[in-house]
Amino acid sequence: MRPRLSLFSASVLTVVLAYLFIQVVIPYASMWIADRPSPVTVPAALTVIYMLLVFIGLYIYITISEENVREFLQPILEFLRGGETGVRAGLRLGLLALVPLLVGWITYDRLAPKVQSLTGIRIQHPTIPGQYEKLINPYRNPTDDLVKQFQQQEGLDGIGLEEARKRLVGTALAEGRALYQKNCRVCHGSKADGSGPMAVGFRLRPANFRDPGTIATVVEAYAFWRISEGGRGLPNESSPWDSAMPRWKEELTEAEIWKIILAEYELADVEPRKPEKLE
Amino acid sequence: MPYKAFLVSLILVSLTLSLEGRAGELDAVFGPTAPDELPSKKLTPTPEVIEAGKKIYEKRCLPCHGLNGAGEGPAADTMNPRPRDFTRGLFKLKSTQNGELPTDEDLFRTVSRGIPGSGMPSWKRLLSEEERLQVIAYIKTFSDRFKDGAAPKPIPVGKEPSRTPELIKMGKELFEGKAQCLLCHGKAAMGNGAIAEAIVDVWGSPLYPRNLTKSWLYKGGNEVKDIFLRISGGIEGTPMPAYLDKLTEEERWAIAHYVKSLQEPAPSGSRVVIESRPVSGEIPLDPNAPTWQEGEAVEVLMSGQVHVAPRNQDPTVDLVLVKSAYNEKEIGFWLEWDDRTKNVTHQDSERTQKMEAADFAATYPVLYPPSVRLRGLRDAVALQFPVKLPQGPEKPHFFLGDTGKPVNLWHWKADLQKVEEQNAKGYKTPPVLQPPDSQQATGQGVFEDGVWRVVLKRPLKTEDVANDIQFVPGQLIPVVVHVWDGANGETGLRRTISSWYFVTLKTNVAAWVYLFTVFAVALTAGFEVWLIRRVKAKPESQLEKIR
Ligand code: HEC
Ligand code: HEC
Ligand code: HEC
Repeated sequence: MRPRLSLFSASVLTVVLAYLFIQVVIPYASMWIADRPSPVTVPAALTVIYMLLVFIGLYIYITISEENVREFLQPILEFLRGGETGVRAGLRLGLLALVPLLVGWITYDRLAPKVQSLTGIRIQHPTIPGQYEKLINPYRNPTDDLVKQFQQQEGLDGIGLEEARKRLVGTALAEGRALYQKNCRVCHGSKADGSGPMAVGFRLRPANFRDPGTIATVVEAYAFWRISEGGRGLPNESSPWDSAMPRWKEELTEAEIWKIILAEYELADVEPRKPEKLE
Repeated sequence: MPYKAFLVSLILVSLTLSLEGRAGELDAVFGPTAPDELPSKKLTPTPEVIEAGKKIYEKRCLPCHGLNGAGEGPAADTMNPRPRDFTRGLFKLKSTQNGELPTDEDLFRTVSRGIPGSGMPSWKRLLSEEERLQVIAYIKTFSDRFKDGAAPKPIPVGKEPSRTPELIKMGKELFEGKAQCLLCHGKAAMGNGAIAEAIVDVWGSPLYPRNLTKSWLYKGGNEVKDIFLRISGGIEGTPMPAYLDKLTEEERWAIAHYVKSLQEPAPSGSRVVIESRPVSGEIPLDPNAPTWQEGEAVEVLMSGQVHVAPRNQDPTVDLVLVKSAYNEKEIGFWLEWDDRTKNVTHQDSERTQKMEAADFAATYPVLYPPSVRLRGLRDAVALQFPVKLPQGPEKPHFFLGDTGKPVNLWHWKADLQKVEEQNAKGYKTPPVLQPPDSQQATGQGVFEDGVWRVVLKRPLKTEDVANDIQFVPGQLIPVVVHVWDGANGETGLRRTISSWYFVTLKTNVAAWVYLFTVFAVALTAGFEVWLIRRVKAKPESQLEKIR
């Protein structure tokens, strides 16, 4: 018969390799793929889930046939029986003594007073409050009324409606860009990448708008709500007490906020989510 | 086969995870860490190139540097130092001699890396090499100085000598002696020299000499060669002089090596729990007492208060070290931070009174421009705790709490050398001073060579439970640090703040823990013995059969 790894050794090897894969390969691969300065460790909770998957997989494989189970158990039974001499007998004893000690250590580690774990789950995008839900950005596709009003204000009667609409959007965008840099830059960064000069000091980092998981996944009304009400306006599951995001309705007008939103998406090179059709 | 299917799914999940990592990508925490980069090519400034550069400029640079490149963009007033005025053709970071223009490589490096400690961001990730070269071609059109096209005179750079103790010693002697660096940068090189406070740049804004110990705040790179170039060419537009003609090349390398040897690594900010040590005997008020030499300090990262007006967009304090100790009666906190000047007098005015609460009428920066500082203000520090110990994660807001969720402040003021206990419910009204019989916190501060060390302490429990935090061992107690640098015009809401950190009173291990541990060991050993006996009781043949 071709010599091969016993099922027991193969199982142990799989577990060790899987663990190394999670602790070493994934962090370095993530570093390489995401172009990070240092390896990205897999969170402890995920490690547990991965290892659980490994164990379930092994369990299914081992219990697939009676024969497999026997093959797997045999080295364990032999070990328990003993009967070796010399060094091997010593090793056996050592291993047998190690198990209760390990259990003791784990028990102590669990019971001894320790700093509580701080990791909580934070919901980045809670449900938008009803009164904000249906708002739309007046400057994205300005209505004829708004354009006419703009024409009147600026004395632009000579040009066509479409040309005036374009100019209105252009003016709003320019104003929005300036307002963004004046008010939001310190935290969200002049490049809208969440790395403004103050970002480092806030443990809940200012949102990175270039990240497809932030403003690109929400409708403009949502951004309007977040900007108006700030961190303090969040529900408890989103830890309002940790958010440095100001309540801009105290300092900016609604029109200014809509203009900033226009500029914010443009600066971050992302599009807002389209609102669902309203019946 | 489930085994294979499982492996496949493991790999898929891992890949998703790594991609997720890319989505959350942020710039390096402390300024640009991008390695030095030179452009791989030169770009001839054809009209097309300049036109392309103009487009990029108008979207990315205009808000700060302005339509005409005069440093007059709409956001310019919110920062100090102000965005560079390109029309003057004056640049800080270059490899050329004082009075010369920078090379294209110098500009490329600056635009790629950004300027740490200023508003100028790093453009390496956002703009391609081509785009960076285009925008550089465009900004050169703002100044006539670039027109004649003559190559600027470089600073001669020989071979960098390797670091030796003798060279560093020579550098130190020069730094403190002949070169007079200490006049501005101070003996400890913390940017706190004798004339530091009086320095103004040619654009009229107040400016501090660099704190050379903070490796993460160097504008032009913190390597020996970068420092050598800055010493040789000076920093134009600022009083930082050029030493090319005043010191030999060897002397300049020696100083550069000495300066490099002073640098400390950037704080990681990874620890958020301050463990308060149980001590027997007094909690000393003297920050230099032996009790405070022990234990490791937690690095608390600070930000300018930019949550509400009046904001602080050019803070000087970015890090506070915190330790804590307690006995059966009291708890003490030891805090240390860098500050260039000791400010122990204070003048209140209508203006400072107004800055105690949010000033929405004066949308930043109209009334509080960072380039104009109020004078005659004190240094101060405050610790903030929730009034009620939170059950679960729910806390008051980290910046002064909210209505309904008040916070308790211990505010130490350098002019009084005294702690005032206050309560705050958000930023709309100033914090309220507690009545005299509730004032139990004490504090003492010592200023030495650019560093404040302050101890604050209070009884663990007080009578005024409605307004004071009560300390309970084993619990996580949220804490925020606030700091004011008087010389930087900081008072009221113009201050630096941290996020929520935590303090916990460490306790000793109880006896029952040991008891349970012994019990667990005995139980496992017993099970093992039982198992072995059972296996041994089975005849050998049964094992054979399995084989
Ligand atoms: C003091 C720092 C600070 C300033 C100034 C600031 N923000 Fe924020 N902002 C934050 C932080 C921190 C978060 C993340 C926590 C949260 O969601 O509340 C955030 C989150 C947001 C979000 C939610 C993103 C998402 O996908 O959940 C939006 C939108 C936003 N900010 C827009 C703005 C705009 C627009 C301005 C300027 C008018 C601004 N912010 C100014 C700190 C700031
Ligand atoms: C958020 C504001 C801001 C933006 C946006 C910005 N800059 Fe700057 N820039 C500054 C500030 C502030 C300084 C001055 C820093 C100092 O003096 O320490 C500066 C300085 C500079 C300098 C001078 C370097 C030297 O050696 O003196 C150059 C060149 C420059 N910026 C180019 C650019 C280009 C190109 C862009 C657009 C791609 C840009 N900046 C976008 C704020 C900005
Ligand atoms: C007259 C005051 C003055 C003297 C003397 C002086 N400096 Fe400076 N130095 C400054 C100022 C101001 C700055 C900050 C400039 C800025 O932020 O743009 C500075 C910045 C620096 C920097 C930071 C460069 C960077 O990339 O951020 C270094 C390094 C430095 N000085 C070294 C020295 C050394 C070494 C000497 C003595 C040989 C010296 N300085 C003498 C005022 C001075």
